Amino acid sequence: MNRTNAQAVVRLEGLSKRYPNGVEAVKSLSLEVKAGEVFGLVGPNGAGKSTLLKLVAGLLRPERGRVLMEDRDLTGQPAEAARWIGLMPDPLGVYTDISCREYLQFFAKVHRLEGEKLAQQMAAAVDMLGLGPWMESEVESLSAGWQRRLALGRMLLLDAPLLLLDEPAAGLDVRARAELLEIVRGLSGIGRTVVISSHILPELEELADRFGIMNEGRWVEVAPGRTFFDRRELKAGLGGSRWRILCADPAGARAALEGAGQTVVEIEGGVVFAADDEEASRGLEAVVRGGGRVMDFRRLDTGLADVVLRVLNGGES
Amino acid sequence: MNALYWLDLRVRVRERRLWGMPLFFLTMPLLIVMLAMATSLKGREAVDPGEVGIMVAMCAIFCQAGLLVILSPLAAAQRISQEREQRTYAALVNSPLGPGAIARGKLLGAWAFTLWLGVLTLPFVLAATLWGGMETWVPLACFGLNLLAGLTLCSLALGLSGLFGRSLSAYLASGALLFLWCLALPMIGGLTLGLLESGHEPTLGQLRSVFCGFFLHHPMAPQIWLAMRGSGAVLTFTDWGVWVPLYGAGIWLLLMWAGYGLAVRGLRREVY
Repeated sequence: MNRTNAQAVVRLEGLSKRYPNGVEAVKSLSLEVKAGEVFGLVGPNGAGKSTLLKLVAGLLRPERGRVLMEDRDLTGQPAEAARWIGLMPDPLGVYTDISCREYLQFFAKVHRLEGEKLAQQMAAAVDMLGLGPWMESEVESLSAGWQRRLALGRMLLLDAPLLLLDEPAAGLDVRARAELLEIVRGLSGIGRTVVISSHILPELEELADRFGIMNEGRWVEVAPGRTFFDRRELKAGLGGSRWRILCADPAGARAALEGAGQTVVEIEGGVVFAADDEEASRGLEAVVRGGGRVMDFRRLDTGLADVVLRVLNGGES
Repeated sequence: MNALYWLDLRVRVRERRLWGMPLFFLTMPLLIVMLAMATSLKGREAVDPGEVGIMVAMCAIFCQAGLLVILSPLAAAQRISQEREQRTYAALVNSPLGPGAIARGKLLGAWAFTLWLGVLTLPFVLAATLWGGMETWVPLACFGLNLLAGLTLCSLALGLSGLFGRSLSAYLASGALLFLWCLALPMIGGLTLGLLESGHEPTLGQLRSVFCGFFLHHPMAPQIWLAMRGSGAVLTFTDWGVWVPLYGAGIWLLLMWAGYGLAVRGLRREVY
C-alpha cells in the first residue's frame, strides 16, 4: 500500500447513529485520522465511543454520513471494510475450544491467506506478540491478557492499515496492560494507524498522538496530545500546575502555605497545592522559613484524566 | 473449503461427547430392532422371513427418522446465536465472509452432523433388507428421505438461530417449530378430517387438500407412504401415486431454502 504520512487513512463525514430504542448514540461526527497516527478516543460510559468504532468497521449502519477509507466508501459494508480495517471489539470474544494456531489459521483462511504469505504473516504476528510458547495451547487455557494478544494477532495477520481497539486493556492487570500497550506502540512503529478507545487514561496519554473527547455522541474536543495538556487557558482552568511538597511536618507546611495565601490539601507525608511557577517558589520559601524539613518538591503533571474531567465539566472552551 | 466449516469440523471432532453418541445411536436402534424381531417371532411355529423383514425394516426406518428429526435441529439451533452469545460474532462479521458464506459454513457444519447420524444408523436399515419382505430400494429410499428431512430441519433451525441473540431462545424456537410441524399440524389435520367426515363423505379433492395441507409434508410422511407401499399395505393415500412423496420432499426443499434465506437475513442484522 502506498501511503504517506500526510494522507488521511480514514475519513468520517457527518456520521449519525440512532439505535432502535431511540437513543442517538452518535451525532454528526466527522474526523480524519492520518496514516501511522495513534488516535485516542476518550469519554465517559455511554459517550458513543464503541458505537463510533462499530460504525467505522461497518458493523452498524449509520442514519447519515459516510466512512471513507482512502476515498473508498465503506459505509455499512463490514465484509468490504474488513479488508482495510481490523476491529478488536469490547467485550472481546474468542473461540475457546481450539488452539491458538488453529485460531490464527482460521482467520487466515477467512481472509484467504495461504502459502508463503501466510507463513510469513503468521511468523511475524507470533513473533511480535510473543505467542510462540502458546501456539499449541487451547485458547481457553490462556489468561485474559494472552487472549487479547491473540485477538491482536488476528488483526496483524490481515495487514489491515487501520486497527480499531475498543478498550483493549479492559480487565487486564498492570503488567499485562503495560505489555499490551507496548505492543500497540509497536504497531504504530510499523506504520499501522490505530484508533484506541480506553478508560485507562494514563497509558493512553503516553500512547496517543491525538485525542478526541466524546460526550453524548459528539466531539467535545479533538486536539494533538502535548498541546492538549500545555494550553495555558486549560491550565488556568485547572488552577495552574499542581505542586507536591513531602516533608517531616505536613501540618506545619500546610500552615506556612496557607499563610502565603495558598489553598492546600494535606496528603500522607506532605501537602499538595495549585499555583503558577512564581507562587510555588514563594510557597516553598515559606515552608522552609517556617522550619519545615523539605524532602521532596515537584510539579505534578496535569494528567489526561484531569483534562478530560475538566473538559467534560464544561471548564474548557 | 469454507473456513467456518473447517473450524466446525475441528471443534466437533475434538468434542469427546460427540464420540459417546455412536454408542447411543447403535444401542437404541439395536434394541428396537431386536424387540421387533422378538415380537414377530413370538408364538409362531413357522416363521415367514418376509413378515419379520417388514417389521424390522419399519422399526429401523422410523427409529432412524425419529432420531434425525429430533436431533438434527438441536444440533443446528445454536450455531449463529452462540456466536452472538460468546461475543465472537463481531470478529466474524469483521471479515471478508459475507452473510451468505457464513450461513453456508454454518449449514455445512450442521449438515455434517446430520449425515454422521445417518451413517451411524444406516447399518440397521441395511440389515433389515436381509430378511426380505420389502424390496431393497424401499428402505434405502426411506434412508435418503430421512436424511433429507434431517437436512431440512437443520436449515430451518439455523434460520431461526440467525434471528436470536441467545441460544436458549433459538433452542426454544426450534422446539416450537418441531412441535408445530410434527404434532400440531397433523392434529389439526386430523380434527379437520373428522369435521369433514361428520357431515358427509368428503370428496377426493377435499381429502387431498387436507392431506397436502396438514400431513404429506410431515418429516415422516413420505417415508410412511414408501414403507406402506413397499410392504403391500393399502391405506387411503398409498394409491394416490408417486406425487405423494415427491410433494413432501418438494416442500422440504422449499423449506430448506427458506431456512438458509432466513439465516442470511439474520446475519445481515447490525452487530450491537
